[in-house]
Amino acid sequence: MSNELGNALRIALLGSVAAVVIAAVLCVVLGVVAWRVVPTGAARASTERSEERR
Amino acid sequence: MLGPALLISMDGSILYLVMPTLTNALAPTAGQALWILDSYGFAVGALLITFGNLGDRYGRRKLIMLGAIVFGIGSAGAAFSPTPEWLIGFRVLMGIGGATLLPSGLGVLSELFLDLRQRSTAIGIYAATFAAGFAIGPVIGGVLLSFFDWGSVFLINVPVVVLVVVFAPIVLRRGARAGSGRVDLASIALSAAGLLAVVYAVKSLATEGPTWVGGGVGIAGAAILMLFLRRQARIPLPLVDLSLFKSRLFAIAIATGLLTLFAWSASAYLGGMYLQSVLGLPVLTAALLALPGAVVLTVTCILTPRLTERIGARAALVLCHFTMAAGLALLLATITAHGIGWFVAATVVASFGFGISFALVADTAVSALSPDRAGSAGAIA
Repeated sequence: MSNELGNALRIALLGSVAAVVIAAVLCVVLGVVAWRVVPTGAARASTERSEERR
Repeated sequence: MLGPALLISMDGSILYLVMPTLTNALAPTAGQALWILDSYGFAVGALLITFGNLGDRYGRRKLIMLGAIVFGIGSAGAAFSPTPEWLIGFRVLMGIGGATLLPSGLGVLSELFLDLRQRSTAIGIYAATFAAGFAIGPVIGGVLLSFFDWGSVFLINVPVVVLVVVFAPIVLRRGARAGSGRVDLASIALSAAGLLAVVYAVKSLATEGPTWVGGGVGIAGAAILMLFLRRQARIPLPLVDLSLFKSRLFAIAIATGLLTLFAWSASAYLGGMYLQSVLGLPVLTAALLALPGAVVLTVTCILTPRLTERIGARAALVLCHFTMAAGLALLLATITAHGIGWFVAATVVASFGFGISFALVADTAVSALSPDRAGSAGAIA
């Protein structure tokens, strides 16, 4: 394999590793956000009931 | 509607193994080879929202028939293309047909299955079929090539298209119905141009690395999409109803969908590089090693409605994020220390998360709108 091709491959590999690392971190962050922000089924049903009463 | 969903996603990846043979036959330049691969995805990505809305307003059955005919003509034309230019043109035509069929197909499910549980299951199966198509595309391409000419990878679409054209008027007679209101042509132009530019920039970044042209097109695309969003907030019948994003579940689900596509593409690209360039495996072997993950992805999509019913949408969302993260971490560990077995385990764990995400995002988006606007909701998802 030529040096040029080897370098291109190394850069592509490093780039895709970086993309996977970013994706993994974002998954954890969005998972935590989802846990904190999205209401549970029971809470959603309660909100819907109170809206219906209003 | 599962046949077209399978073909549309399969056509996004079927050329991965076919390109060397195709290059020998048509002798495209490097740029033309990229366009042969990418033009299809560009057309599908840029036109989904437009055709999702057109289906909602003017009747999905009509649009499904029209989309199937366009997809069929594109496929037959691609199979017999004499030059790279013709092949690129027919791939664009296939993309237009695919963008017409996909959101209307998803929209039709919300009409055919009025029971919420049945609808969730149907959407899960639709998402599973779509995900499976993309995964098995390279394998199907490789198998067809070992028996037939390169054109066969496009010709297999034609019988399915004929079935859709024959049976859609019968099966969808009661279901499809036309909505009301004019479609905003300026919004269509802005969304198609903006998405096309952004998709081009992302593809350019993935294939050529950072370039001035790719960066410029990406910034222009983002600016056009900002104009599109501003217009959606002002007009009475927008293509994308921004008020939907006030629902936390909907907003998080759409963000999850975007992140899943990013994570899926990044892990598939890294996995392919690792297997072919680092381990030196042939392309067909690499495609076969991706199959266990594809099976888990497909099964998870189908089972997600039951899982969501049992543990709730919030817990399912969190489970999908953390399994995706665990699978990606395992993949990173595989690259540095372990072998093929660990690679398969990593794709299986990540695919479990991808599967929950695909089914849950599609179901959440379609459920957020009334059935007469389900096509545009499906297009957003």
